[in-house]
Amino acid sequence: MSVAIDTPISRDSARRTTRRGHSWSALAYALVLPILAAVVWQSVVYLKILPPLLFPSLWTVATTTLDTVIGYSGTADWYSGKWLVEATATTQRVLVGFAIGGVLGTVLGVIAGMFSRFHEMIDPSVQVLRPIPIVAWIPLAVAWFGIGNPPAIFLIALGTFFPTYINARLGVRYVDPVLVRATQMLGHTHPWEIFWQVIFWGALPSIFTGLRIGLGLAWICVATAEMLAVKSGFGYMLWDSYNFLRIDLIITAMISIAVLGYLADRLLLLVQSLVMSWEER
Amino acid sequence: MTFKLNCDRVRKIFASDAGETVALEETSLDVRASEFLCLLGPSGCGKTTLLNLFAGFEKPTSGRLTLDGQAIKGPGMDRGVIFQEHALFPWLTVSQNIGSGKHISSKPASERNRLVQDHLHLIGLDNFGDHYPRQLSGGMRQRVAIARGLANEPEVLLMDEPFASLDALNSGVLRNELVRIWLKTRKTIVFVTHNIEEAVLLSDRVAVMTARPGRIRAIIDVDLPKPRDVNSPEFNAIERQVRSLIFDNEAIAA
Repeated sequence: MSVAIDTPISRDSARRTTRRGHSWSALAYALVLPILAAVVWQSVVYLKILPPLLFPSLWTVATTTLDTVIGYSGTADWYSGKWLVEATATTQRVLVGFAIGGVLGTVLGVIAGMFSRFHEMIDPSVQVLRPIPIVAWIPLAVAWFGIGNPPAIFLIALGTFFPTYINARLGVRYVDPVLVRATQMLGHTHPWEIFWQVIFWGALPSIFTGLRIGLGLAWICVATAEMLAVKSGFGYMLWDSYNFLRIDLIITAMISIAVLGYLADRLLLLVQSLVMSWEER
Repeated sequence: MTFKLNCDRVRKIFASDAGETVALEETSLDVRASEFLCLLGPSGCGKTTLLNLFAGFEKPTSGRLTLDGQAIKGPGMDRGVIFQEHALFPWLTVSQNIGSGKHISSKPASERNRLVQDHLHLIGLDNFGDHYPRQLSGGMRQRVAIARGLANEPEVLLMDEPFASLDALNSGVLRNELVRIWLKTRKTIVFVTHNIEEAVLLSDRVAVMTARPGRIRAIIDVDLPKPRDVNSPEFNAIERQVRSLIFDNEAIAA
Protein backbone atom coordinates (compact mmCIF):
# COMPACT_ATOMS: atom_id res chain seq x y z
CA MET A 1 0.00 0.00 0.00
CA SER A 2 1.22 3.43 -0.87
CA VAL A 3 -0.17 5.66 1.83
CA ALA A 4 3.32 6.74 2.84
CA ILE A 5 3.73 8.78 -0.34
CA ASP A 6 1.10 11.33 0.46
CA THR A 7 0.51 12.39 4.01
CA PRO A 8 -2.29 14.77 5.01
CA ILE A 9 -1.41 18.41 5.17
CA SER A 10 -0.75 19.31 8.79
CA ARG A 11 -0.31 22.98 7.91
CA ASP A 12 -3.48 24.23 9.62
CA SER A 13 -2.56 22.95 13.07
CA ALA A 14 0.87 24.51 12.74
CA ARG A 15 -0.58 27.84 11.69
CA ARG A 16 -3.06 27.90 14.54
CA THR A 17 -0.33 27.77 17.18
CA THR A 18 1.66 30.53 15.50
CA ARG A 19 -1.40 32.73 15.36
CA ARG A 20 -2.08 32.29 19.05
CA GLY A 21 1.52 33.18 19.85
CA HIS A 22 1.16 36.42 17.94
CA SER A 23 -2.18 37.50 19.40
CA TRP A 24 -0.67 39.84 22.04
CA SER A 25 1.50 41.69 19.57
CA ALA A 26 -1.50 41.86 17.22
CA LEU A 27 -3.49 43.56 20.00
CA ALA A 28 -0.64 45.99 20.59
CA TYR A 29 -0.55 46.88 16.89
CA ALA A 30 -4.34 47.32 16.82
CA LEU A 31 -4.08 49.84 19.68
CA VAL A 32 -1.50 52.07 17.96
CA LEU A 33 -3.99 54.14 15.97
CA PRO A 34 -6.61 54.56 18.75
CA ILE A 35 -3.91 55.77 21.18
CA LEU A 36 -2.55 58.17 18.59
CA ALA A 37 -6.08 59.49 17.94
CA ALA A 38 -6.67 59.93 21.68
CA VAL A 39 -3.46 61.93 22.02
CA VAL A 40 -4.41 64.20 19.12
CA TRP A 41 -7.92 64.58 20.52
CA GLN A 42 -6.74 65.56 24.00
CA SER A 43 -4.22 68.00 22.46
CA VAL A 44 -7.08 69.78 20.71
CA VAL A 45 -8.92 69.94 24.05
CA TYR A 46 -5.96 71.30 26.08
CA LEU A 47 -4.81 73.75 23.42
CA LYS A 48 -8.44 74.96 23.17
CA ILE A 49 -8.30 74.88 19.35
CA LEU A 50 -12.07 74.43 19.43
CA PRO A 51 -14.28 75.67 22.30
CA PRO A 52 -15.03 72.99 24.97
CA LEU A 53 -18.72 73.17 24.05
CA LEU A 54 -17.91 71.80 20.57
CA PHE A 55 -15.00 69.63 21.58
CA PRO A 56 -15.49 67.84 24.91
CA SER A 57 -12.65 65.95 26.55
CA LEU A 58 -12.49 62.18 26.27
CA TRP A 59 -13.21 62.03 30.00
CA THR A 60 -16.50 63.89 29.47
CA VAL A 61 -17.42 61.58 26.63
CA ALA A 62 -16.57 58.53 28.74
CA THR A 63 -18.59 59.66 31.77
CA THR A 64 -21.56 60.69 29.63
CA THR A 65 -21.45 57.33 27.84
CA LEU A 66 -21.30 55.50 31.16
CA ASP A 67 -24.24 57.59 32.39
CA THR A 68 -26.36 56.63 29.37
CA VAL A 69 -25.62 53.00 30.18
CA ILE A 70 -26.11 52.90 33.98
CA GLY A 71 -27.63 56.32 34.80
CA TYR A 72 -25.42 57.16 37.77
CA SER A 73 -24.76 60.92 37.44
CA GLY A 74 -27.42 62.39 35.18
CA THR A 75 -24.86 64.10 32.91
CA ALA A 76 -26.56 62.48 29.93
CA ASP A 77 -29.80 64.32 30.86
CA TRP A 78 -32.84 62.62 29.36
CA TYR A 79 -30.64 59.87 27.94
CA SER A 80 -29.37 58.99 31.41
CA GLY A 81 -29.77 55.23 31.85
CA LYS A 82 -31.54 54.95 28.48
CA TRP A 83 -28.80 53.12 26.57
CA LEU A 84 -30.51 49.74 26.61
CA VAL A 85 -33.81 51.27 25.48
CA GLU A 86 -32.20 52.98 22.49
CA ALA A 87 -30.03 49.98 21.71
CA THR A 88 -33.06 47.71 21.70
CA ALA A 89 -35.00 50.06 19.41
CA THR A 90 -32.13 50.32 16.92
CA THR A 91 -31.18 46.64 17.03
CA GLN A 92 -34.77 45.50 16.55
CA ARG A 93 -35.10 47.62 13.41
CA VAL A 94 -31.83 46.30 12.04
CA LEU A 95 -32.79 42.70 12.74
CA VAL A 96 -36.24 42.93 11.17
CA GLY A 97 -35.06 44.97 8.16
CA PHE A 98 -31.99 42.78 7.68
CA ALA A 99 -34.09 39.62 7.91
CA ILE A 100 -36.57 40.86 5.29
CA GLY A 101 -33.94 42.24 2.91
CA GLY A 102 -31.56 39.32 3.47
CA VAL A 103 -34.16 36.61 2.87
CA LEU A 104 -35.63 38.38 -0.19
CA GLY A 105 -32.18 39.08 -1.61
CA THR A 106 -30.97 35.52 -1.08
CA VAL A 107 -34.09 33.85 -2.45
CA LEU A 108 -34.44 36.11 -5.51
CA GLY A 109 -30.67 36.03 -6.11
CA VAL A 110 -30.60 32.23 -6.02
CA ILE A 111 -33.61 31.97 -8.36
CA ALA A 112 -32.04 34.52 -10.72
CA GLY A 113 -28.82 32.50 -10.63
CA MET A 114 -30.59 29.27 -11.50
CA PHE A 115 -33.04 30.51 -14.13
CA SER A 116 -31.73 32.95 -16.73
CA ARG A 117 -35.29 33.88 -17.80
CA PHE A 118 -36.04 35.07 -14.28
CA HIS A 119 -32.75 36.93 -14.22
CA GLU A 120 -33.56 38.64 -17.51
CA MET A 121 -36.92 39.64 -16.07
CA ILE A 122 -35.86 41.19 -12.76
CA ASP A 123 -32.21 42.15 -13.16
CA PRO A 124 -32.69 45.32 -15.27
CA SER A 125 -35.15 46.67 -12.69
CA VAL A 126 -32.85 45.82 -9.82
CA GLN A 127 -29.87 47.44 -11.54
CA VAL A 128 -31.84 50.64 -12.23
CA LEU A 129 -33.05 50.94 -8.63
CA ARG A 130 -29.69 50.03 -7.10
CA PRO A 131 -27.84 53.33 -7.73
CA ILE A 132 -30.54 55.34 -5.93
CA PRO A 133 -29.02 56.25 -2.54
CA ILE A 134 -31.00 54.83 0.36
CA VAL A 135 -31.27 58.38 1.77
CA ALA A 136 -33.18 59.40 -1.36
CA TRP A 137 -35.92 56.92 -0.44
CA ILE A 138 -36.57 58.58 2.92
CA PRO A 139 -39.18 61.20 1.79
CA LEU A 140 -41.11 58.52 -0.07
CA ALA A 141 -40.84 56.07 2.82
CA VAL A 142 -42.11 58.64 5.34
CA ALA A 143 -44.89 59.76 2.99
CA TRP A 144 -46.07 56.19 2.53
CA PHE A 145 -45.47 54.68 5.95
CA GLY A 146 -45.52 57.75 8.26
CA ILE A 147 -43.06 58.37 11.08
CA GLY A 148 -42.17 55.20 12.99
CA ASN A 149 -40.76 51.72 12.56
CA PRO A 150 -42.20 50.84 9.10
CA PRO A 151 -40.24 53.42 7.04
CA ALA A 152 -37.03 52.60 8.94
CA ILE A 153 -37.46 48.88 8.39
CA PHE A 154 -38.29 49.53 4.74
CA LEU A 155 -35.06 51.47 4.25
CA ILE A 156 -32.93 48.89 6.06
CA ALA A 157 -34.48 46.03 4.10
CA LEU A 158 -33.85 47.93 0.86
CA GLY A 159 -30.23 48.58 1.80
CA THR A 160 -29.69 44.92 2.70
CA PHE A 161 -31.45 43.57 -0.37
CA PHE A 162 -29.13 44.75 -3.16
CA PRO A 163 -25.77 43.33 -2.03
CA THR A 164 -27.44 40.12 -0.86
CA TYR A 165 -29.23 39.64 -4.18
CA ILE A 166 -26.14 40.31 -6.28
CA ASN A 167 -23.86 38.04 -4.28
CA ALA A 168 -26.38 35.21 -4.02
CA ARG A 169 -26.84 35.25 -7.81
CA LEU A 170 -23.10 35.30 -8.46
CA GLY A 171 -22.59 32.52 -5.92
CA VAL A 172 -25.00 30.30 -7.83
CA ARG A 173 -23.51 31.26 -11.21
CA TYR A 174 -19.99 30.43 -10.11
CA VAL A 175 -20.67 27.03 -8.60
CA ASP A 176 -18.06 24.76 -10.21
CA PRO A 177 -19.79 23.08 -13.20
CA VAL A 178 -17.72 19.93 -12.61
CA LEU A 179 -19.34 19.61 -9.17
CA VAL A 180 -22.76 19.85 -10.80
CA ARG A 181 -21.79 17.08 -13.23
CA ALA A 182 -20.46 15.02 -10.32
CA THR A 183 -23.82 15.43 -8.59
CA GLN A 184 -25.66 14.29 -11.71
CA MET A 185 -23.50 11.24 -12.33
CA LEU A 186 -24.08 10.23 -8.70
CA GLY A 187 -27.77 10.03 -9.55
CA HIS A 188 -29.07 13.37 -8.32
CA THR A 189 -30.52 14.56 -11.60
CA HIS A 190 -33.73 16.34 -10.57
CA PRO A 191 -33.31 20.16 -10.36
CA TRP A 192 -34.31 20.12 -6.67
CA GLU A 193 -31.72 17.44 -5.90
CA ILE A 194 -29.07 19.38 -7.81
CA PHE A 195 -29.97 22.49 -5.82
CA TRP A 196 -29.75 20.87 -2.38
CA GLN A 197 -26.77 18.64 -3.17
CA VAL A 198 -24.51 21.19 -4.78
CA ILE A 199 -25.84 24.63 -5.77
CA PHE A 200 -26.86 25.70 -2.28
CA TRP A 201 -23.60 24.65 -0.63
CA GLY A 202 -21.47 25.92 -3.47
CA ALA A 203 -23.15 29.33 -3.36
CA LEU A 204 -23.04 29.59 0.43
CA PRO A 205 -19.69 31.43 0.76
CA SER A 206 -20.88 34.10 -1.66
CA ILE A 207 -24.30 34.30 0.02
CA PHE A 208 -22.57 34.98 3.34
CA THR A 209 -20.39 37.64 1.72
CA GLY A 210 -23.55 39.37 0.50
CA LEU A 211 -25.22 39.07 3.89
CA ARG A 212 -22.17 40.54 5.57
CA ILE A 213 -22.07 43.55 3.25
CA GLY A 214 -25.85 43.86 3.68
CA LEU A 215 -25.58 43.81 7.47
CA GLY A 216 -22.97 46.56 7.36
CA LEU A 217 -25.28 48.63 5.17
CA ALA A 218 -28.18 47.91 7.51
CA TRP A 219 -26.38 49.78 10.32
CA ILE A 220 -25.71 52.70 8.00
CA CYS A 221 -29.36 52.70 6.96
CA VAL A 222 -30.68 52.50 10.51
CA ALA A 223 -28.73 55.57 11.58
CA THR A 224 -29.97 57.49 8.55
CA ALA A 225 -33.55 56.34 8.95
CA GLU A 226 -33.64 57.17 12.67
CA MET A 227 -32.40 60.70 12.00
CA LEU A 228 -35.41 61.45 9.83
CA ALA A 229 -38.10 58.80 9.99
CA VAL A 230 -38.35 57.64 13.63
CA LYS A 231 -38.14 59.23 17.06
CA SER A 232 -36.01 56.66 18.90
CA GLY A 233 -32.76 54.76 18.63
CA PHE A 234 -29.18 55.97 18.29
CA GLY A 235 -29.78 57.65 14.94
CA TYR A 236 -32.47 59.82 16.51
CA MET A 237 -30.23 60.39 19.54
CA LEU A 238 -27.51 61.71 17.19
CA TRP A 239 -29.74 64.35 15.68
CA ASP A 240 -31.58 65.16 18.88
CA SER A 241 -28.27 65.75 20.69
CA TYR A 242 -27.06 67.94 17.84
CA ASN A 243 -30.12 70.15 18.26
CA PHE A 244 -29.13 70.69 21.88
CA LEU A 245 -25.45 70.91 21.00
CA ARG A 246 -24.54 67.94 23.18
CA ILE A 247 -21.41 66.85 21.32
CA ASP A 248 -20.59 64.28 24.03
CA LEU A 249 -23.98 62.59 23.49
CA ILE A 250 -23.47 62.65 19.70
CA ILE A 251 -20.21 60.79 20.17
CA THR A 252 -21.88 58.37 22.60
CA ALA A 253 -24.49 57.55 19.97
CA MET A 254 -21.80 57.11 17.31
CA ILE A 255 -19.74 54.80 19.53
CA SER A 256 -22.89 52.81 20.34
CA ILE A 257 -23.70 52.24 16.66
CA ALA A 258 -20.08 51.23 16.03
CA VAL A 259 -20.10 48.73 18.89
CA LEU A 260 -23.45 47.21 17.93
CA GLY A 261 -22.45 47.03 14.28
CA TYR A 262 -19.16 45.38 15.17
CA LEU A 263 -20.85 42.82 17.44
CA ALA A 264 -23.47 42.03 14.80
CA ASP A 265 -20.73 41.45 12.22
CA ARG A 266 -18.82 39.14 14.60
CA LEU A 267 -22.04 37.25 15.31
CA LEU A 268 -22.68 36.75 11.59
CA LEU A 269 -19.09 35.55 11.12
CA LEU A 270 -19.62 33.10 13.97
CA VAL A 271 -22.79 31.77 12.34
CA GLN A 272 -20.93 31.49 9.05
CA SER A 273 -18.08 29.52 10.58
CA LEU A 274 -20.59 27.17 12.23
CA VAL A 275 -22.59 26.63 9.03
CA MET A 276 -19.52 26.38 6.80
CA SER A 277 -17.51 24.23 9.19
CA TRP A 278 -15.56 22.70 6.27
CA GLU A 279 -13.75 25.98 5.57
CA GLU A 280 -10.30 26.64 6.92
CA ARG A 281 -10.28 29.25 9.67
CA MET B 1 -19.37 -11.65 -25.88
CA THR B 2 -21.68 -9.19 -24.21
CA PHE B 3 -21.55 -5.48 -24.93
CA LYS B 4 -21.96 -3.13 -22.03
CA LEU B 5 -21.64 0.25 -23.70
CA ASN B 6 -22.17 0.93 -27.34
CA CYS B 7 -22.04 3.92 -29.61
CA ASP B 8 -23.39 3.55 -33.10
CA ARG B 9 -22.42 5.99 -35.87
CA VAL B 10 -22.19 8.85 -33.37
CA ARG B 11 -21.13 12.31 -34.54
CA LYS B 12 -20.66 15.37 -32.42
CA ILE B 13 -20.50 18.86 -33.88
CA PHE B 14 -20.06 21.92 -31.70
CA ALA B 15 -21.66 25.01 -33.22
CA SER B 16 -20.45 28.46 -32.21
CA ASP B 17 -20.39 31.97 -33.69
CA ALA B 18 -17.07 31.11 -35.32
CA GLY B 19 -18.69 28.21 -37.15
CA GLU B 20 -18.99 24.48 -36.69
CA THR B 21 -16.32 22.24 -35.21
CA VAL B 22 -16.46 18.52 -35.80
CA ALA B 23 -15.39 17.20 -32.41
CA LEU B 24 -16.13 13.59 -33.26
CA GLU B 25 -16.37 12.09 -36.75
CA GLU B 26 -18.85 9.25 -37.23
CA THR B 27 -17.74 6.72 -34.64
CA SER B 28 -18.92 3.29 -33.60
CA LEU B 29 -17.54 1.44 -30.61
CA ASP B 30 -18.49 -1.46 -28.37
CA VAL B 31 -17.25 -1.72 -24.82
CA ARG B 32 -17.42 -5.25 -23.44
CA ALA B 33 -18.62 -6.10 -19.95
CA SER B 34 -15.80 -6.12 -17.37
CA GLU B 35 -13.40 -4.72 -19.91
CA PHE B 36 -10.86 -1.97 -19.31
CA LEU B 37 -10.85 0.16 -22.46
CA CYS B 38 -8.66 3.21 -23.04
CA LEU B 39 -9.46 6.04 -25.39
CA LEU B 40 -5.98 7.22 -26.32
CA GLY B 41 -5.09 10.20 -28.46
CA PRO B 42 -3.71 13.74 -28.65
CA SER B 43 -5.73 16.71 -27.44
CA GLY B 44 -8.52 17.60 -29.85
CA CYS B 45 -9.11 14.01 -30.94
CA GLY B 46 -12.55 13.89 -29.36
CA LYS B 47 -11.72 11.35 -26.64
CA THR B 48 -13.19 13.46 -23.86
CA THR B 49 -16.16 14.32 -26.08
CA LEU B 50 -16.83 10.61 -26.56
CA LEU B 51 -16.57 10.03 -22.80
CA ASN B 52 -18.96 12.93 -22.11
CA LEU B 53 -21.40 11.43 -24.60
CA PHE B 54 -21.29 8.11 -22.75
CA ALA B 55 -21.70 9.99 -19.46
CA GLY B 56 -24.72 11.83 -20.87
CA PHE B 57 -23.22 15.27 -20.26
CA GLU B 58 -23.36 15.92 -24.02
CA LYS B 59 -25.92 14.85 -26.60
CA PRO B 60 -24.77 13.44 -29.96
CA THR B 61 -25.46 15.45 -33.11
CA SER B 62 -26.41 12.17 -34.76
CA GLY B 63 -26.18 8.49 -33.89
CA ARG B 64 -27.11 6.48 -30.84
CA LEU B 65 -25.48 5.57 -27.54
CA THR B 66 -26.62 2.71 -25.33
CA LEU B 67 -25.88 1.11 -22.00
CA ASP B 68 -27.05 -2.51 -21.79
CA GLY B 69 -29.10 -1.84 -24.92
CA GLN B 70 -30.94 1.10 -23.33
CA ALA B 71 -30.53 4.52 -24.95
CA ILE B 72 -28.46 7.01 -22.96
CA LYS B 73 -30.56 10.13 -22.45
CA GLY B 74 -28.57 12.05 -19.83
CA PRO B 75 -26.29 11.62 -16.85
CA GLY B 76 -27.22 8.80 -14.48
CA MET B 77 -25.87 6.79 -11.61
CA ASP B 78 -25.44 3.67 -13.75
CA ARG B 79 -22.37 5.44 -15.17
CA GLY B 80 -19.94 6.71 -12.53
CA VAL B 81 -17.54 9.41 -13.72
CA ILE B 82 -14.06 10.23 -12.43
CA PHE B 83 -13.01 13.70 -13.55
CA GLN B 84 -9.58 15.12 -14.25
CA GLU B 85 -9.95 17.28 -11.15
CA HIS B 86 -11.18 15.27 -8.18
CA ALA B 87 -14.57 17.09 -8.13
CA LEU B 88 -15.13 16.15 -4.48
CA PHE B 89 -17.67 18.19 -2.54
CA PRO B 90 -15.53 20.43 -0.30
CA TRP B 91 -18.33 20.73 2.28
CA LEU B 92 -18.49 16.96 2.86
CA THR B 93 -15.96 14.80 4.70
CA VAL B 94 -14.24 11.94 2.89
CA SER B 95 -16.81 9.47 4.25
CA GLN B 96 -19.73 11.73 3.37
CA ASN B 97 -18.31 12.19 -0.13
CA ILE B 98 -18.01 8.44 -0.64
CA GLY B 99 -21.57 8.03 0.65
CA SER B 100 -23.03 10.91 -1.39
CA GLY B 101 -24.31 8.89 -4.35
CA LYS B 102 -28.04 8.44 -4.67
CA HIS B 103 -27.83 4.65 -4.80
CA ILE B 104 -25.62 4.25 -1.74
CA SER B 105 -27.47 6.89 0.29
CA SER B 106 -30.77 5.10 -0.30
CA LYS B 107 -29.49 2.09 1.65
CA PRO B 108 -30.01 1.57 5.38
CA ALA B 109 -27.43 3.37 7.53
CA SER B 110 -25.61 0.25 8.65
CA GLU B 111 -25.11 -1.05 5.12
CA ARG B 112 -24.14 2.42 3.89
CA ASN B 113 -21.50 2.73 6.62
CA ARG B 114 -20.14 -0.69 5.79
CA LEU B 115 -19.88 0.22 2.09
CA VAL B 116 -18.12 3.48 2.94
CA GLN B 117 -15.68 1.64 5.20
CA ASP B 118 -15.06 -1.01 2.54
CA HIS B 119 -14.26 1.64 -0.05
CA LEU B 120 -12.06 3.61 2.33
CA HIS B 121 -10.15 0.38 2.85
CA LEU B 122 -10.03 -0.31 -0.89
CA ILE B 123 -8.20 2.98 -1.49
CA GLY B 124 -6.01 2.59 1.61
CA LEU B 125 -7.42 5.59 3.47
CA ASP B 126 -9.11 3.77 6.37
CA ASN B 127 -8.31 6.50 8.90
CA PHE B 128 -9.19 9.50 6.77
CA GLY B 129 -12.99 9.26 6.76
CA ASP B 130 -13.48 12.38 8.88
CA HIS B 131 -11.05 14.55 6.93
CA TYR B 132 -12.29 17.22 4.56
CA PRO B 133 -10.96 17.14 0.97
CA ARG B 134 -8.87 20.29 1.51
CA GLN B 135 -6.90 18.41 4.17
CA LEU B 136 -5.81 15.75 1.67
CA SER B 137 -3.06 15.71 -0.94
CA GLY B 138 -3.89 15.62 -4.65
CA GLY B 139 -3.31 11.88 -4.93
CA MET B 140 -5.49 11.13 -1.92
CA ARG B 141 -8.32 13.28 -3.27
CA GLN B 142 -8.28 11.44 -6.58
CA ARG B 143 -8.44 8.12 -4.70
CA VAL B 144 -11.46 9.34 -2.76
CA ALA B 145 -13.06 10.35 -6.07
CA ILE B 146 -12.53 6.80 -7.34
CA ALA B 147 -13.98 5.38 -4.12
CA ARG B 148 -17.00 7.69 -4.42
CA GLY B 149 -17.55 6.54 -7.99
CA LEU B 150 -17.28 2.85 -7.08
CA ALA B 151 -19.31 3.05 -3.85
CA ASN B 152 -22.42 4.14 -5.73
CA GLU B 153 -22.17 0.78 -7.56
CA PRO B 154 -22.41 1.98 -11.16
CA GLU B 155 -22.57 -0.41 -14.12
CA VAL B 156 -19.54 1.24 -15.69
CA LEU B 157 -16.85 3.69 -14.63
CA LEU B 158 -15.90 6.51 -17.00
CA MET B 159 -12.54 8.08 -16.21
CA ASP B 160 -11.40 11.32 -17.87
CA GLU B 161 -7.60 11.60 -17.54
CA PRO B 162 -7.93 11.16 -13.79
CA PHE B 163 -4.18 11.12 -13.11
CA ALA B 164 -3.10 13.84 -15.55
CA SER B 165 -3.01 16.58 -12.91
CA LEU B 166 -0.88 14.54 -10.50
CA ASP B 167 2.91 14.41 -10.39
CA ALA B 168 4.65 11.43 -12.05
CA LEU B 169 5.27 9.59 -8.77
CA ASN B 170 1.68 9.84 -7.59
CA SER B 171 0.16 9.01 -10.95
CA GLY B 172 2.40 5.93 -11.16
CA VAL B 173 1.22 4.75 -7.76
CA LEU B 174 -2.42 5.39 -8.60
CA ARG B 175 -2.18 3.52 -11.89
CA ASN B 176 -0.96 0.44 -10.05
CA GLU B 177 -3.75 0.83 -7.51
CA LEU B 178 -6.31 1.13 -10.28
CA VAL B 179 -5.05 -2.15 -11.78
CA ARG B 180 -5.38 -3.76 -8.35
CA ILE B 181 -8.90 -2.34 -7.90
CA TRP B 182 -9.94 -3.46 -11.37
CA LEU B 183 -8.59 -6.99 -10.75
CA LYS B 184 -10.69 -7.04 -7.58
CA THR B 185 -13.93 -5.53 -8.93
CA ARG B 186 -13.80 -6.34 -12.68
CA LYS B 187 -15.73 -3.18 -13.33
CA THR B 188 -16.29 -2.06 -16.92
CA ILE B 189 -14.04 0.97 -17.29
CA VAL B 190 -13.61 3.48 -20.10
CA PHE B 191 -10.46 5.49 -19.45
CA VAL B 192 -9.41 8.59 -21.40
CA THR B 193 -5.70 9.38 -21.62
CA HIS B 194 -3.02 10.91 -23.81
CA ASN B 195 -0.31 8.83 -22.14
CA ILE B 196 0.70 5.77 -24.20
CA GLU B 197 2.38 3.92 -21.34
CA GLU B 198 -0.65 4.50 -19.12
CA ALA B 199 -2.98 3.17 -21.81
CA VAL B 200 -0.94 0.00 -22.39
CA LEU B 201 -0.46 -0.58 -18.67
CA LEU B 202 -4.15 -0.43 -17.84
CA SER B 203 -6.14 -1.56 -20.86
CA ASP B 204 -7.50 -4.76 -22.23
CA ARG B 205 -8.00 -2.80 -25.45
CA VAL B 206 -6.72 0.58 -26.56
CA ALA B 207 -8.82 2.64 -28.97
CA VAL B 208 -6.28 4.89 -30.71
CA MET B 209 -7.87 8.17 -31.77
CA THR B 210 -6.61 10.84 -34.13
CA ALA B 211 -7.41 14.52 -34.30
CA ARG B 212 -9.12 16.86 -36.79
CA PRO B 213 -11.57 15.35 -37.30
CA GLY B 214 -11.66 13.20 -34.18
CA ARG B 215 -12.10 9.53 -34.94
CA ILE B 216 -10.95 6.06 -33.86
CA ARG B 217 -7.99 5.02 -36.00
CA ALA B 218 -7.52 1.51 -34.66
CA ILE B 219 -8.31 -0.71 -31.71
CA ILE B 220 -5.40 -2.70 -30.30
CA ASP B 221 -5.74 -5.71 -28.02
CA VAL B 222 -3.30 -5.72 -25.14
CA ASP B 223 -3.12 -9.40 -24.36
CA LEU B 224 -0.74 -9.29 -21.39
CA PRO B 225 -1.58 -10.52 -17.90
CA LYS B 226 -2.12 -7.87 -15.21
CA PRO B 227 -0.41 -6.44 -13.30
CA ARG B 228 2.03 -5.67 -16.11
CA ASP B 229 5.74 -4.99 -16.22
CA VAL B 230 6.41 -1.77 -18.11
CA ASN B 231 9.97 -2.90 -18.82
CA SER B 232 9.12 -6.23 -20.42
CA PRO B 233 9.81 -6.64 -24.17
CA GLU B 234 6.17 -7.58 -24.85
CA PHE B 235 4.98 -4.40 -23.16
CA ASN B 236 7.42 -2.26 -25.13
CA ALA B 237 6.45 -3.91 -28.39
CA ILE B 238 2.81 -2.95 -27.91
CA GLU B 239 3.83 0.54 -26.80
CA ARG B 240 5.84 0.93 -30.05
CA GLN B 241 2.95 -0.33 -32.10
CA VAL B 242 0.57 2.21 -30.54
CA ARG B 243 3.11 5.01 -30.89
CA SER B 244 3.63 4.34 -34.59
CA LEU B 245 -0.14 4.40 -35.15
CA ILE B 246 -0.38 7.85 -33.59
CA PHE B 247 2.72 9.40 -35.12
CA ASP B 248 2.27 7.93 -38.64
CA ASN B 249 -1.03 9.71 -38.71
CA GLU B 250 0.50 12.96 -37.45
CA ALA B 251 2.98 12.72 -40.35
CA ILE B 252 0.13 12.34 -42.85
CA ALA B 253 -1.76 15.25 -41.30
CA ALA B 254 1.33 17.49 -41.40
